[in-house]
Amino acid sequence: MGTQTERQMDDRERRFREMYREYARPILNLAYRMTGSDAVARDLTQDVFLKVFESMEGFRDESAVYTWIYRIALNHIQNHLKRERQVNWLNFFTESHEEQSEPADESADWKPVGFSRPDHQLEGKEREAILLKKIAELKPDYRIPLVLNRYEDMDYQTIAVTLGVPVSTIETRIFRAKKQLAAKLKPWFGKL
Amino acid sequence: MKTHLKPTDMPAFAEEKLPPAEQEHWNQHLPACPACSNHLYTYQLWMKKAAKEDVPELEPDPEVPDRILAGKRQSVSKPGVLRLLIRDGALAAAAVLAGIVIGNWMVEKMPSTPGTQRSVSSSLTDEGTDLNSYLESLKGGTE
Repeated sequence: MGTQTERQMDDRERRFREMYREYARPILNLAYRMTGSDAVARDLTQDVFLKVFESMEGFRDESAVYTWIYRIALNHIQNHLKRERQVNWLNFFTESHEEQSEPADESADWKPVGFSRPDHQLEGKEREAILLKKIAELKPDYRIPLVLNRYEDMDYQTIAVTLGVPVSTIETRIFRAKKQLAAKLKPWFGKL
Repeated sequence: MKTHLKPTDMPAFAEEKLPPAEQEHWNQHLPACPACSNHLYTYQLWMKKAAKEDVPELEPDPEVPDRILAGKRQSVSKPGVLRLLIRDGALAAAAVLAGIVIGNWMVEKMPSTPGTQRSVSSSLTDEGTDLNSYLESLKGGTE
């Protein structure tokens, strides 16, 4: 028979394991869509659940567990992306340079290639994998609302509340994200 | 007006956000241009919501909770040991400091007149060792 402290600890661990079983998958996949990297997403998920364990003692509202974990995850992922962005600035003249600005006017080299043949068609899975890679190249301010809208089924209003910015800002950011994505996807436009 | 619809203009065209004249121009152009309509169709295909089965999904690592809990147990026990060391170290330091203060106080309280030296120093030890005389003899030796 354990002491009361031991029993409390066992109970806390049990609740933590249940939370992980239930919510690790959506958090991992949110991190994956935000970062585009399997390994980074796994590291971030582990960090998020460490924070969850550390702060679960003060958390009482059992009905809002997912919202609570989701908020911790989103904050942590955002911070990670900001740090990553700062590191990228150091490599300004490498690939990240393209992401700093709006795509240039490409009318000069933009030559439509006509209807593609069926053997050039991309499968849905392949198309999504490419898109995910391209989304991961967007800067965090554009990437985060786009991922929340496209993969998390959040409307603009909910995204605005979640990120604490006006709805008009979200609209602008998602629009710019689509614009940049369209430019990045140009090489595939003739392959469908 | 441009010959073909640029990729970067596709979102604006698809969401009807281009200036009215431009929007109208592309409305007229697209049905007559297979290339542009193909590209616009492709863009919309990319941007539409993906089918559930097409979205890559990752499986979480089942051992993560064990790793976190093991790490927490270690970090909980480490500060405990540290706390003990700090507490015991502080006690030892306090004891040494108290010894020094008391020792100084007692030396200061010792009478310096030779007539009283014996009785005070005798009371310091059971064996009746005359500490002051010994110290005096050392002093004499060095002079």
